[in-house]
Amino acid sequence: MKMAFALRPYRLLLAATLAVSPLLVNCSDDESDPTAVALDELKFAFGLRIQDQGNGNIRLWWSGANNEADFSGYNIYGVKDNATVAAKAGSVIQLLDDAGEPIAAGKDLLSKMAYNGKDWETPGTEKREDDQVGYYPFYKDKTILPSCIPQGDKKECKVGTKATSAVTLNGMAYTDLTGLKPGGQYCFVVVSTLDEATKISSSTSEVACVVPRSIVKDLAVTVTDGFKNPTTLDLTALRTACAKGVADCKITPASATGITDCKTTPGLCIEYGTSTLHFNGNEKTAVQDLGYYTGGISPEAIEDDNFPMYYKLTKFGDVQNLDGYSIPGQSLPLQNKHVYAIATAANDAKTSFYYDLIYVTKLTETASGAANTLTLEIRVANKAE
Amino acid sequence: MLFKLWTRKTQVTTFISTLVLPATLGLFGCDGDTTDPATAGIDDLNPPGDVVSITRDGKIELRWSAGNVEEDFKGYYVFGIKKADYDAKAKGKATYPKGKANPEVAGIPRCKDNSAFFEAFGLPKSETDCEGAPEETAATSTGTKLTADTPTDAAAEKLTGFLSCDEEKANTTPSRPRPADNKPVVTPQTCTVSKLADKDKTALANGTTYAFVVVAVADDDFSKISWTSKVIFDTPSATVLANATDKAKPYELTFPAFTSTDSKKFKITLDPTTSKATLGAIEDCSGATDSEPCSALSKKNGLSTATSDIYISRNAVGTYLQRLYISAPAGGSVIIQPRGPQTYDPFKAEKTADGRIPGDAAAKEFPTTEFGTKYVIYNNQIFDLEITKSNVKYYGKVFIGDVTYGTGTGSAMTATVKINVVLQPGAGIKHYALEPKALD
Repeated sequence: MKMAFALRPYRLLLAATLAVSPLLVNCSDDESDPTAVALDELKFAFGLRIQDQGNGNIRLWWSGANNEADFSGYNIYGVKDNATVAAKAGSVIQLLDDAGEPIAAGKDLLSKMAYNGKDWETPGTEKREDDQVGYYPFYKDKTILPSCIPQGDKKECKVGTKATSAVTLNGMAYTDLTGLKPGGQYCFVVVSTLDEATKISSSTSEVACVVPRSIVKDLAVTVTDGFKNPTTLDLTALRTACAKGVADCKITPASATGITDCKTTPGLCIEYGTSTLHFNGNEKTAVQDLGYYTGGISPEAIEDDNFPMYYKLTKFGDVQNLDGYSIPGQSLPLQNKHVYAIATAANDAKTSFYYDLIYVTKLTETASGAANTLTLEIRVANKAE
Repeated sequence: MLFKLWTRKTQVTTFISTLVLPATLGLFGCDGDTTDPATAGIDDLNPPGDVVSITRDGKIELRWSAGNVEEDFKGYYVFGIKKADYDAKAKGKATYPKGKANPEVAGIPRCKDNSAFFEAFGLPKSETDCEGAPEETAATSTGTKLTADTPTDAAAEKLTGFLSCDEEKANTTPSRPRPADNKPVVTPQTCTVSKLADKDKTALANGTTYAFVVVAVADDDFSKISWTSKVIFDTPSATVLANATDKAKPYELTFPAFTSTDSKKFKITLDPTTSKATLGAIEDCSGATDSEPCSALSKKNGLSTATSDIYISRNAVGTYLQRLYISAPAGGSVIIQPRGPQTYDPFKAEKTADGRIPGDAAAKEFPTTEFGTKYVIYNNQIFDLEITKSNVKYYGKVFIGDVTYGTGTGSAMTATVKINVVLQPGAGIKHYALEPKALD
């Protein structure tokens, strides 16, 4: 059943026939030394998704069914700000066709995801010293890509580990990546490997992309009593500040006492009225309550508590309840330990939105007539959707 | 492809009648015939991975990841028995791999040392020696559950030749590279179980917990089975307020267009001890104001206060005449906990019709011990329920689906709320799908 691609004589003949192809002239994947192997020899990873943990930290999740005896872990390919790769989001990169022949476009696309192993911005150029592997980068003598094998309970795939013995995975695994810069678009694939990574699967996982969010922690907000005396958060200005870097990602709550209406007031209103704190959006901002989470927006909440996805707005400012968002000027009760999605229009036509997440870390409501204090964590969206 | 649900009573008979071809050798053991399937090694036949379940009304939906590219792969068998039988006959009976056999955590092979476990699920006694069973280390693979935010590509990749346990699904063109025979599956699988495979085809009963394992099957005569998946437990639970003709669809509460003094309410009375909910007729909600809207918290509305009632209401007075509320009285026994839009099924990449999702569970904590809460209703929301009766806590949830309005503006619009109410089948049960760790 396990018929290595390299050993099929007819493929050698075919390789010779195709030797004039520009693809094969100077590449290492000549037919006598293929590196992508057929599905029946090595199963590919699938179901890749990304959890954005903020400030450039992400967690990749994928599924595998790799009980191959000589399975040796996964290679992770990544690239920053590459439109060609991003256009493939949700699709796999096929390296072999149904007949087992290399697909040049697949290899070319994968080569664009060959970063230099140190940062995600710089394309990698290194090749393996023995020049055997056509689909570089790889790991063996050098760690050029993050590579990992399932560890411990087989869930955590620890980056930087190299396979020294057969390992298996029959389910889901994850690995954490750090050092991404909020605001850039990063795309990844996971590739299963065989024989100390000298062979890779015939297909990558799906391409998964993320624009990492920035984080503002421990934002103290004081709110004066009265619906017309809100404190406002300028999330658009915050977004601009965060684009400059983590150190600049700050916001100062503004007092807006004596306003006419939050609907016409810039920024997101936080107000106190009818004995309750409220969020109140304006003509470009809507709010959705994502529910109660004691631990905030943590990996544990995401994994164990079914942290909800926010629904995107399909039409702004329609009757209440559309897509679960408030309408302009409509107050939404603000509660301790709740997570809120704040949709802010990215354009005047209100056809795309930034979806910031706000977690109410601490809330102290006082009797009517006094100021209220609360502490917020903001996960700033750096991409409009 | 074949799916087959095995149960304790008649599976051997069914097995014999279904599989008639001679035996072939398994990877270890020589007992591979149609009545006594051999276990294939893990690198010979990939076992199902990451089995999870979704609790449904009178049904259990099983999902697992698959990596079956074997040329002789045929499909899957799903084995199911009552948990009571599992506890009596299977629990703790598997001993291979030595020192770490725990089928509630990871799969096991069918062989002599594990025979009692498989016999509980209806397979004949095995005399095959377990020693030498391949890939012992693979038994430690636990994987993890598919959770609500686990995206998969199942929606885009319907499976060639795939049959669910309840119905055959249409084939579509696979988008993955496959061998020429087009047989393998390397994608998530699903199987909804609604009845046992005994001669009476007994329906799964709400409130009864069942144990399931899944194996891959290979060879033309189906004489090889893989190591098992881990055992998964689940208890079907009733949707106690649902569409009368199709329980998979939500009930629809309609508030008529009204004049400015006609706030309206529906009362839903919950009885967690019998897992029942009773919906009352629409009623007037007199005396509602903008600052004290129609809800269970308003003393003006004449609502009962000492019951396990919840209310769905619509205010006729105030700034937002479309505004809808869910509420429970301060003197009652129900705490409402908003959970946000936990209504998305990532496996199918769509909103659920009934709010049942993988890994479904009530909130770990409730934010208050005070009774009497009121929340605004928006589209696609879950509200958890904690109901105290005779000092015992019960759990459930209210699913709010689409909220739609008629033509007009403000009070001139009708408002229709799609709603399901689910109550757990017993006291203290937070997790709809009973996790193995909860058994200890």
